[in-house]
Amino acid sequence: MSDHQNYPGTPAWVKTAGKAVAVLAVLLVAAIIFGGGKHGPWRHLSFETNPTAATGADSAPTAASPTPAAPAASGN
Amino acid sequence: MLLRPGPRKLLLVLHVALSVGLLGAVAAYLALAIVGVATGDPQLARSVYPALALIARLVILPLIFSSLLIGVVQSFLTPWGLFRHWWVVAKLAINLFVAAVLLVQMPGIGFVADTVASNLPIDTLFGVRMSFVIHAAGGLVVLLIPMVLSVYKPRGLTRYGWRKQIEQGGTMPGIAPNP
Repeated sequence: MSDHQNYPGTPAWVKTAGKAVAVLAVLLVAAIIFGGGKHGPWRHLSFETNPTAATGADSAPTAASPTPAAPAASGN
Repeated sequence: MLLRPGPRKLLLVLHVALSVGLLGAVAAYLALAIVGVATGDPQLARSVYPALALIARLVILPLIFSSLLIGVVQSFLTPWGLFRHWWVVAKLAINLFVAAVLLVQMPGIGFVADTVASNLPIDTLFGVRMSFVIHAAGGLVVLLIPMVLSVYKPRGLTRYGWRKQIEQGGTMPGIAPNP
């Protein structure tokens, strides 16, 4: 179509921003992969406070069932 | 349907007020989050998180979604459109991204606030408390981008915008001087 042929193209600032976003996305994916496959606050919670982690249960920790002794294992 | 200048400016004022308010709220949130991890006073650290949760739930969340809603309404009722100009598309994408990240953060914020309310120790939650700081700082930086885009309105039509411009056979904002 003629209007498509005349389209001046994507502006340079959009291309640059797109590349920056792509790089950040790759870094984020790498961080997720090398960080244990999870991202977000629950990643920290599951490592540091989930009392059931050692027992194999998969539920997230709750305020009603914290793990007082868990930090010793995480080193924090 | 396009709005007349009066209502259009009213919407613009609303959108600017909500967006600037959002920046201020995130800045306040960031300040509290930093105090929460940096203070040596355990009592102060514990007092921070209920306030943090309230700011997130009652201020930041409503502000971001109302700003988003007003922005979308504006785009449909003005010649700018939602998908005609790259800078409008970029603003929409950034705001949706920030809203999504905030929604992902909300359970963690509520969890730490509940932990404090239950008089349980929060020392073990350093990782999640630190993530509040990191995400708020990142959010503040990211939220500055839509503000810059709104002020500078960098030129550039999307392919859809280009086609619409040709169909209408006239000028559009961004091609002609900014309205």
